[in-house]
Amino acid sequence: MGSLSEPPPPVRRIVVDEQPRVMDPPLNGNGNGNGGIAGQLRSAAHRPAPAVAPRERMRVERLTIRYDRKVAVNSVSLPVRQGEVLALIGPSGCGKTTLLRSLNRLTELTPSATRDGRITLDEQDVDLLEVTQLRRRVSMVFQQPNPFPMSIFDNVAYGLREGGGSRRASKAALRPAAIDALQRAGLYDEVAADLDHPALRLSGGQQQRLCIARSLAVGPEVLLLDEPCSALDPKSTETIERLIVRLREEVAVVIVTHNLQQAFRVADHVAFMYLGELVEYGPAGQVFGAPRAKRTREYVAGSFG
Amino acid sequence: MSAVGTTRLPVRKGAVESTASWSRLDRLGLAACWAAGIALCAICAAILLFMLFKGLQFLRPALLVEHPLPDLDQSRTGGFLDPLIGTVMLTVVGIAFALPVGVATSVWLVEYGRPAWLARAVESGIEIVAGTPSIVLAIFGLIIFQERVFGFLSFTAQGGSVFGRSFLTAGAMMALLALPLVVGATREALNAIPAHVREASYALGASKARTIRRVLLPGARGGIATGATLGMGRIAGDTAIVVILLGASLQMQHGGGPPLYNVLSGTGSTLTTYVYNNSPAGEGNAPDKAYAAAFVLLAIVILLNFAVGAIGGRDRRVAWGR
Amino acid sequence: MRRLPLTGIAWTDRRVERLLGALACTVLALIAAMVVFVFSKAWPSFAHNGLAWFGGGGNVDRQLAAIFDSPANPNDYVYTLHAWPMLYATALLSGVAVLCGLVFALLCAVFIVEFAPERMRRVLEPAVRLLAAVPSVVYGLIGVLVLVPLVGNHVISAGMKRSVAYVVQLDGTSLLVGAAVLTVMVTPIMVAIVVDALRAVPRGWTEGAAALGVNRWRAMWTISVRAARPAIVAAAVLATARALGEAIMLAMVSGSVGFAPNPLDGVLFLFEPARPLAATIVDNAEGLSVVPFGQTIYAFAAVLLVSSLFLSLGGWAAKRPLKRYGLAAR
Repeated sequence: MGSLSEPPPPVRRIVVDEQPRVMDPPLNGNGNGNGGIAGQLRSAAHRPAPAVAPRERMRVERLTIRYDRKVAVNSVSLPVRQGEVLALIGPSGCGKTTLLRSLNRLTELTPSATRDGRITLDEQDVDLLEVTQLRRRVSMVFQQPNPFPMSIFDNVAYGLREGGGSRRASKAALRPAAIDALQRAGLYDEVAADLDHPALRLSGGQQQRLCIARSLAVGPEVLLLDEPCSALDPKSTETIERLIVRLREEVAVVIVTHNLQQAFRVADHVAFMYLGELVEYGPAGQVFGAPRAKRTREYVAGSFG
Repeated sequence: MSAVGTTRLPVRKGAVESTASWSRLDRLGLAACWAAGIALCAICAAILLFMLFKGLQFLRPALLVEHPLPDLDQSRTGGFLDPLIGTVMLTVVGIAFALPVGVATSVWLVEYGRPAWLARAVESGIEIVAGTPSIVLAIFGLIIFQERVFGFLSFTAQGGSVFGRSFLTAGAMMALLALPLVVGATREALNAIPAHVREASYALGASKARTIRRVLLPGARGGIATGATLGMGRIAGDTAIVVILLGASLQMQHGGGPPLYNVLSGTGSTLTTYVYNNSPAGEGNAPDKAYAAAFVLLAIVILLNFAVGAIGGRDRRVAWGR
Repeated sequence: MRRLPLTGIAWTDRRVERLLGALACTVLALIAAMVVFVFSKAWPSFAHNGLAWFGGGGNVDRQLAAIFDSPANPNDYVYTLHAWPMLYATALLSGVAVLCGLVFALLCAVFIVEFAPERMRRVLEPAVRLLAAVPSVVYGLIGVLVLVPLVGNHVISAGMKRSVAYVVQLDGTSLLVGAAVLTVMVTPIMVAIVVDALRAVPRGWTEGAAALGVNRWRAMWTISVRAARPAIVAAAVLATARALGEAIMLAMVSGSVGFAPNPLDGVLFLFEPARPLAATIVDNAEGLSVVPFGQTIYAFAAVLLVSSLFLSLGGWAAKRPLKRYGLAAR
């Protein structure tokens, strides 16, 4: 797509497209993107359409994040819907990870970060929610698998034990929830006999699925994934991608990835960011098949990034 | 660019989570942490201010330059010049013994270290020495240095029994106190030198010994100085070895041997034993002199320990380049 | 090749390596010599008493005086000693100080790493280093000139003193003051080690815990402190070694009689004097020239030496099972 004979523009300049940045669908309208080219592409990726119509869970309104003076995210607006996977793509340093981390207020761990704009979860402003409660509803899986130095069972039960619930809940009481989370993460069959073994003995892919199970155990409504497969081999990647597509029914999934093919495989909606700006947002089929912005076209074609 | 309603909402800038939702036990724990932190500050302030107050109250410049009088009742006259010199001499002797052995040991551990079991044994040995109480080192020193073989280090009495107590013997045991600190700091400094510096030296044809001498040791200067300073602080503050191994003479006495040497092989006292002897635990009738001497001692030790920051800080900024 | 003057010996790499290695091994030789010599000099005291050396019975001070007054004839040397009160005092003082110090140090370390405001942190960190650097004789001086009179005159009532006057004098040098000052002495070492360990916990774990909605306090204790367990063990071992070997401060502050405080005395237990092994050595240092007395003192040193060796061993052994769960040992 797009002619490769044109030289890519110099990366330093912020080239703002003539077309309006914020495309019509994001904050109102259905944005299902079913049918047409999108439908063809989706079936080409062997992925079934979601069973339930997506409903909006979170909404980002004109979000701007600054680290001291430097602007990392510049006035971005997006919806996050349950029943679909939203992929944030863009070259390194474009602010997609910062945007993701602001969704569960993890940016507050960095003292120099300031935030303007609004993020709502089920119509409630996230700043008015207790932050620990927010993070239980909006859960995150990181790039490097980070299982705690405990047994597998203790890892999965960790959020349940320490997240404000009664610490004295017995192992037997927590077992059903832990097993359920492991099953939803597709890991139970592999570790059923070894729940008390140290989690660090698992392979990389298994560790990442354990982290997903750990996040699912607290019962979140939104699941954030920060380049979850970048440290994994192709086989584990494939397992996790299938898992992500399966999970989108139960939770809203937002995944940050620098791997375009991965975004193509798993996403229903795609947001392309460049130097902190949201350049394009739309259904996956449209962004990959017929991108409206010139910059998107170049990125998708591989001219830069 | 500000969105609507920003002003109503809580602080955006790195907001610290509130403790409102925590359980009672958690909040109790937090309170305990705060209490511990404040208590530590308070204790430190109390000790410092108290010693400062008492020191300024009792310290007269004359005390620093007068010899103590060999009188059981110290409260009348006399200063603590001899103990002060004793502290300085002992520190110098101790570090003079500790530095070569310590630097050699850590260079061997970092650059050579073959066979591996020996290197591990030496490392464990250093840790064991670090954990041995100084009173045990003192007793060991006494046993060893009372052997005839070591008679030259101290005074030998008419009947042939070796006294075993002198600046040299005490300094030798003090070196053991400082050794782990020197080894540790030097090892850190050597490990901080990146591999490509060594490789560059070898690539120019220098032998390992030459590399160590010309490149690594100068580069580790900061760490060695840090270790030496920490070691000196430790030596200056120790009392047990001095009590056992320096003889109980208030003024410096000469030992055996040629003129300058007999100062080192003689006995004396240090600020630490001076303070101990003038407190109620010793003869005890000059608490004001004890305070004055303790103030000087504390000042010396604090200076040594905090000078480390200045020495280490300057050299740490040596950029090794990447 | 560089050559030594006069002898012309070449500084080859092999020779340098051997020289440095030999210097490094002096440490090992020293430790071996220490064990051999101290034990060989101490042996007569153990041999004459057998296991009763470690037991109780009789007044330790009187036994020591008897040993000191031994006749000059080697066959008539007196060695009888039952060192239990001193062993008990050593264990009691060290144990209490390390336990209290560990709790105190953990709370302080958590405070410094997580909850202290920036300005307080900038005061606390040098304060810890300062407290660690203060010589023990200064701690002892403050203890004996301030705390001991305070306890002796204001906390212990005259009635309490009278009630035990026939056994021991309560003058303020006591278990309480000794343990309190010893706690303050060992805490800074532990704080420094634990703070370093808490800061070295991988960010992935702390962020992961935060992302699960766990509050800062719980995350700190269940993840960071848990991950720092090897360091906490190391800190406790170091602190115990320091506490066991503390001679001067305790000699000044915790009493100069070989008395074993009796827990059945209730509150009085805290005010009774106690003199650990190291302090006993310092107190009796003048008598070393009398042969049997010297050998008895060497026996005390031997016990201390063995304890510190066992401590190092114990610390190493305690860290091993923690490696299983991926907690890196230092």
